[in-house]
Amino acid sequence: MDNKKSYSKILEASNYGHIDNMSDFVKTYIEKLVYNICMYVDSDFSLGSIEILNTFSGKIELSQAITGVPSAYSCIDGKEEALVAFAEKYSGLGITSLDVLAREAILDFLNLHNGLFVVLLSKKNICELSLDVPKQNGNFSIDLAQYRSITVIPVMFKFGTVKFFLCEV
Amino acid sequence: MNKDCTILVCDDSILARKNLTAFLTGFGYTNISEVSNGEDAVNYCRDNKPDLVFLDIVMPVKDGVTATREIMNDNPDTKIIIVSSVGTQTHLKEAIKAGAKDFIQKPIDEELLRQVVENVDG
Repeated sequence: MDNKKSYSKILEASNYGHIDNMSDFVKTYIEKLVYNICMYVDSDFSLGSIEILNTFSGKIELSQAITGVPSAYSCIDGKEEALVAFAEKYSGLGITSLDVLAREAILDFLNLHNGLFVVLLSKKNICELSLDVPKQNGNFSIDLAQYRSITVIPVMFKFGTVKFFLCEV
Repeated sequence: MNKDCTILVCDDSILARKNLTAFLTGFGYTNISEVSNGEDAVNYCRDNKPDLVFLDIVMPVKDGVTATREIMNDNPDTKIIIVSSVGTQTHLKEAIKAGAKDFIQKPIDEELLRQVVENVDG
């Protein structure tokens, strides 16, 4: 499948261009995310309804902060089976459970995507950002007391849905 | 770089270390060690003086640019190549200023890696 063609079609079929008050920063993040998933994971997916949330909590925190101006917090969540399948699709290492290697693979993708997003913003002379070390923790929650906006981007693969979150500081 | 040179791969990502080591092994390099943060890289280099060091930028304990400065301060002959997903001009300039010989953007392009490694002596 032509990944670039898939990338455009996936974006066109989603509600990404029709959300009020979404910043250019978040829009660019979503565009780059869809592109990077097509390129490095699997192009056979669609986007669920992208939403702006007030709060979110999860059982495993797989996250990375984007630092500079603007700053942001990014993380990945989903059902265990979907996260395992995602980790395996990305790494090809025979991952079958949500173990250390699976979490490492998910964070490796997040770091790759965030890095390429930061490079894109730099190349377009929009801003110069950096990244913190990816983090793994247990139960976590995020809300609007900490962040200006919380955007959830559900990525629906055949094996399940993986949710990406971007929170603007 | 000669095939019998000693190489250190430093990245906090297991996958990144595994991929880079696999590429290097495929090129014929066999003396490859791995560590997972900048502090361990600096200590390893003090003890073992590897010929070639690959460093990520974003790492726990000590980042790759700081580690580059310290490794070069200890042994200016070390050849350091930064391999990072954060390949902005700012990061590239910081890495080169710190003493790195080259910068490779992740995901690693195998052919580019081969060229960089073969020409890092030049």
